[in-house]
Amino acid sequence: MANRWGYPDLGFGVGLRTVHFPYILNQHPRVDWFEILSENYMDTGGRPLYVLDQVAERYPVVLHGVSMSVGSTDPVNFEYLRKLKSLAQRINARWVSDHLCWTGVAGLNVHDLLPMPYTDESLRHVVERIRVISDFLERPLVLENPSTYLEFHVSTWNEWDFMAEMAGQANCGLLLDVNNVYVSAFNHGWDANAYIDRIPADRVVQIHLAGHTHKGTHILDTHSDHVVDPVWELYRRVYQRMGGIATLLEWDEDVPDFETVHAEALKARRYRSSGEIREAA
Amino acid sequence: MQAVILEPGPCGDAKARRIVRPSAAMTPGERLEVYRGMYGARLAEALEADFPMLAGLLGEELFAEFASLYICEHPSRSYTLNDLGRNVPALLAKLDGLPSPALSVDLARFELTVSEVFDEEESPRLTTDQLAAVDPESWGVARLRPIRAFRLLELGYPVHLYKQRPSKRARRTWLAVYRRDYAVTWHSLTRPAYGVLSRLAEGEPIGAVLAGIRNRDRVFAWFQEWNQEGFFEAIEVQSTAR
Repeated sequence: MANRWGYPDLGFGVGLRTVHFPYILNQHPRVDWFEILSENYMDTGGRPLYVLDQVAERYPVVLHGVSMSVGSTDPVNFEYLRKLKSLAQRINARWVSDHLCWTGVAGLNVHDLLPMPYTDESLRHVVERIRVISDFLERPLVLENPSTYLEFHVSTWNEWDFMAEMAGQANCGLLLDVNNVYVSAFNHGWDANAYIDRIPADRVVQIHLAGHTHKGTHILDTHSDHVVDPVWELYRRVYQRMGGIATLLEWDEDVPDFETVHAEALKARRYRSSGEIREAA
Repeated sequence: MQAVILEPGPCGDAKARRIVRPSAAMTPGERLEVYRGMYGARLAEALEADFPMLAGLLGEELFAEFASLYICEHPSRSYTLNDLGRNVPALLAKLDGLPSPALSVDLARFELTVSEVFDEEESPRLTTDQLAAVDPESWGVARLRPIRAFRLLELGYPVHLYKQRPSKRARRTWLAVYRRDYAVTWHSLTRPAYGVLSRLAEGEPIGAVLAGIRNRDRVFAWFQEWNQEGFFEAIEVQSTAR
C-alpha cells in the first residue's frame, strides 16, 4: 500500500557512514539508496559534504536528523531548519525525517532522543510544532518512533495511538523503526504486534531496522549488531500489513565493512518475499 | 528530567518516583539513570574523538575526570556537537595540578584548530592568472585573502609531531594549519615567516608588510611556497581613497 504522499518504496538502503566513504566512492556498490544523518553535513564545508555530493549524484538520499527536538518547549530553531532545508535542496533529498522526542530545554542540549509524556497537552504542542516545521520545510515532516527507557506517570496515551493521532492531526509521515518498537515494547511491557497493527499504514514512508544491546533488565538501541530474529518477524508483519516500504538498516557502533552492512539490509528481501501481503488496515 | 540528566552523581529514586513509572525489572531511578549515564558517556566520547592526543597525554582516568568537569562547566547549547570542545583549551589553562599543563593546552589548541579547519567552507584557490592580472603599480596596496580553511598557530611545543613522536620537550613552534584536497594538513614555519604570513592573512597591504624587510627574495620564495600549498583564495586591489 502506498503512503498518501506517493513517496516511493526506494528498496533496501543503508546509512551512509564515514568509515565506508572510500569503499563507496571507489566501488560504487549497487545499493538502492542511502540515508544520512543530517547534522553530520549541515555545518561542514569539508570532506563530508564533498563525499555527500558525489553520493547524491548516484543514489537516492534521504535526510534523517536527531536534533530537531520537535517535542521541546524551547522555540523552534529556524536557523537549524534553514540549514536543513538548504541541505535537502542541495542533494534532492527524497524526504526529511527526525524523531518524536525532545533533546533539551532552556537552551541546553543533551544530544539524546528524550522521551515525551504522551498527554493531550503534549499532543497539541507537538502537532502545532510539526505544522510550523513542515510549512517551513515546504514538505511533510516524517517522524520516527523513538526507543525509550522510561515512561511518565502523567502519560494518558499509549505511544502508538499518540503517534497515529499526531500524524493525522499534523498531516505528517511516519518512519516506523521496527527495532525501536521491539526495544520499547520490551522495556515497557508493551505488545509489539499491537503497536504495529495500530500504526496507520498510509502514513508510513520508511522503515528502520537495526541491532540492539540486551542488558538483561532493559534493551538499549545501540545499532551495534545484526538484527535479531524477533525484529525480523515484526518486519514481516509490517510488510504483510503495509506492503513494500523503503527499508533502511542502521549500524552505528562497531561498524563492520560495507558489504556486511549491506548484506544485513538485503536480508529484508527474504522477509518480504516470504511474507504474504494482507489487505492494509 | 533534564536537570536530573545534567546533575553529577546518580539520581535519587525518590525524585525519580514522582515522574517516572517503574518497569517490571527497574526502579524509576534506575530508568532515569540510563539516560544520565548515556549523556555523560556520549559527550565524553565526542570530546575524546576531537581531542585524541590530549586524551592520550592525560590518560583514560584523568581525561574522563576532565571531560566530566568540562561538560558541567560548558554544557552543550547547540544542536551540533561540532562546537562542544571550543572551550577545552581555556578550561585546561585554568586548572591546577594537571601534569604537563602547557603541553595539554597546546595539544588542545592544535586539535581544536584541526577540527575547525576540517569543517570550514571550501574556497577557490588563487591562480597564477589572477596574480599575473595584478597591475605592477598596484602590488603595494594589494591584499591577500586566505582560504577559509586556514589558521595560524604559535605554540610552545611541536604538537604537530606529537602523534608520531610523543615528547614533552618544549620548543617554540609556528604552524599554518590548512586544508588541501579536503584533507587537513599543516606547514611548519620559521618565526619570521610566521610574522609575515600573519600580517598577510590579516589583510594588511602587501606593501606595508614588505616595508622594512631587507631580504625580499626570501619573502617571495615563501610566498611562492605558500601559494603552491593553496593558502590564499584571492588577491584584492581596492582603492583606499574616500
